[in-house]
Amino acid sequence: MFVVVLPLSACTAAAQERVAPDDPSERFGTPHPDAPEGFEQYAFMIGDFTCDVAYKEFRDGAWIPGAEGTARWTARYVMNGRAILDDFVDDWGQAVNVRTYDEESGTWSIHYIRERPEEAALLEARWTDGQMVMVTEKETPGGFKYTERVAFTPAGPGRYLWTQEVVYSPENVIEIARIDCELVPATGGQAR
Amino acid sequence: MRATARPLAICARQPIAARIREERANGKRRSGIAAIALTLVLSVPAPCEAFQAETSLPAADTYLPGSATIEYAVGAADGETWEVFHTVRSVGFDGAGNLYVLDAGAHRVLKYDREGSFAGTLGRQGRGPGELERPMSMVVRPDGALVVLDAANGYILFGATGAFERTVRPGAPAYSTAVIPSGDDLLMVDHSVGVRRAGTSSGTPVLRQPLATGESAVPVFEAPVSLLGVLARRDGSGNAALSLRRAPTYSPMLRFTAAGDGGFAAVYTADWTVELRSPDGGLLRTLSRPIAPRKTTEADRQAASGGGLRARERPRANGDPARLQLSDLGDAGFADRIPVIRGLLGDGSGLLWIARETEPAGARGPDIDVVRGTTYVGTIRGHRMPAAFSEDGRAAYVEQGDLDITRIVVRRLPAAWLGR
Repeated sequence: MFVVVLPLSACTAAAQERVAPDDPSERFGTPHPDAPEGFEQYAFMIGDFTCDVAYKEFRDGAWIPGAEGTARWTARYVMNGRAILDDFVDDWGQAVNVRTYDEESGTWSIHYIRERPEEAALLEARWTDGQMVMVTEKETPGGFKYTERVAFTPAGPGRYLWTQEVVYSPENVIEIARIDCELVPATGGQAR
Repeated sequence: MRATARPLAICARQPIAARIREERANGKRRSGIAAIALTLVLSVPAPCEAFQAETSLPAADTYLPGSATIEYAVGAADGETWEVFHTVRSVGFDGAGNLYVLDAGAHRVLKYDREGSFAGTLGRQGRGPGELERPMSMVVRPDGALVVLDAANGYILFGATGAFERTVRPGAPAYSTAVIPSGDDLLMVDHSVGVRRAGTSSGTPVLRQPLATGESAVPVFEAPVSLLGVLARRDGSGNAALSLRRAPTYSPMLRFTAAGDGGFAAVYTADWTVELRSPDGGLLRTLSRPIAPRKTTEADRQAASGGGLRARERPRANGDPARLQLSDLGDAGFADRIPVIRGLLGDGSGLLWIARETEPAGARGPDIDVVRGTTYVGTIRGHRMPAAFSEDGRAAYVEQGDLDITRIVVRRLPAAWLGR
């Protein structure tokens, strides 16, 4: 277990308000003026999104349609506009990511924590051919090695797709999860 | 039973601070995270707590006689469209005993009369008036009016006749699966605390959503617990620091249900402690039973554990743009105790069913403590928790049958189980 050490004097309401003001127009922050050009690559996911979630499950030797659900995915600029913090909540739990960009290598570092099932990892992603792609070499408990490919794909204004694929070979790629997200328009408390 | 009442001459903006001072005076100590989390909620507005009382309930169980009898069940693998469920997210009764089932997978609400006969459908998939796209939860009012929380469309209001009335769209999605009515408004738990409230809290808030005006939801209470939390701040030079954390496995989480008079009951500690709070979030009374949480065992530690991250903004001495410095915070580990309470359901008029952790887990259903008002009624041995109570002494259970077929089973409850 770790202990978060923050000086309590820094936790005054005034100090916090500068970090996350209640004004909805300020909720999602802005990139730092000095942020490198590549930092814009994740701009498509900034805001409050709701999503359709569809998973596949491996049963009897084949991937078949599995659980479907709904998710909320919210992302904002943090750390003086030098990082992106996103919060994913679905029917099965919550995950939080912090995304930071390394200008020299052109890659993103993603610290990922999920509540259920419990998981934490440091991942790396790169903008490739109009997608934010994350490739991880994995191994099943039975020793079978495979490649997992996760990609964000901007799909027009206020919409993006998140897909998770198992790559058995270049010719054999199975999509095992899809999250289709659309921006929630902030209507400023209007009833209709 | 012993009931103690004492005035609390502390106003409102400091209920948690008052508790910290009180606990220190009583020699209690909290973990570092809990203490920080408590401190962070000081800015949450809350009404003045003019009076607060504690009620200690008996330690020994008094088992309640009787058994629940099935009145009807709906749900099948094949059949009419109204008896095949896809993804049931919420059920509820109106005052006449009609049952409503929110089937999110089918984008509709199904209505059954008090005998279980199909009585109609509300909503269909879409984004127009009265349509459901991503329904999350539902509130049924005594007159049969409904509010459906839809993450894509907002709060969709149907009148007592089932006719669509209007949609309320505040600036954030209607995304909560824990929601209760409170007068004309709703109270709901917001688990998406990590980003929306980054920097202001690492707790779990209960929000009040006004429906008459459509204004944005406001927090009325914040439980100082969160399975995932984000802490952000700036130092005196304006540099940012941020920490992500995951609570140790088996940490308490916020459980929330309807209590009387539009208020709510909340559980968020490992002990048998239930707080009764007003619609404005003020603490009215604390109920407790001297039942100790059991210690976490090696068998409980099978689940994997993760870690955390700390990021700091490090300005460069030569005036170049600051860089981020990241460091991992290691394993979150396990809580040393398993919370006593694992389920909570109220009928909105003072009845509370409080499900307890039993050992060995899974051997039978949980023991359920029945409380009406502030009185311990007794304990139901080994019974599953329902999803909703009716006013006429029944309860609806969402059950998975063979082949994962979802059924809604309505059972008549013994009067003793209701404290009547």
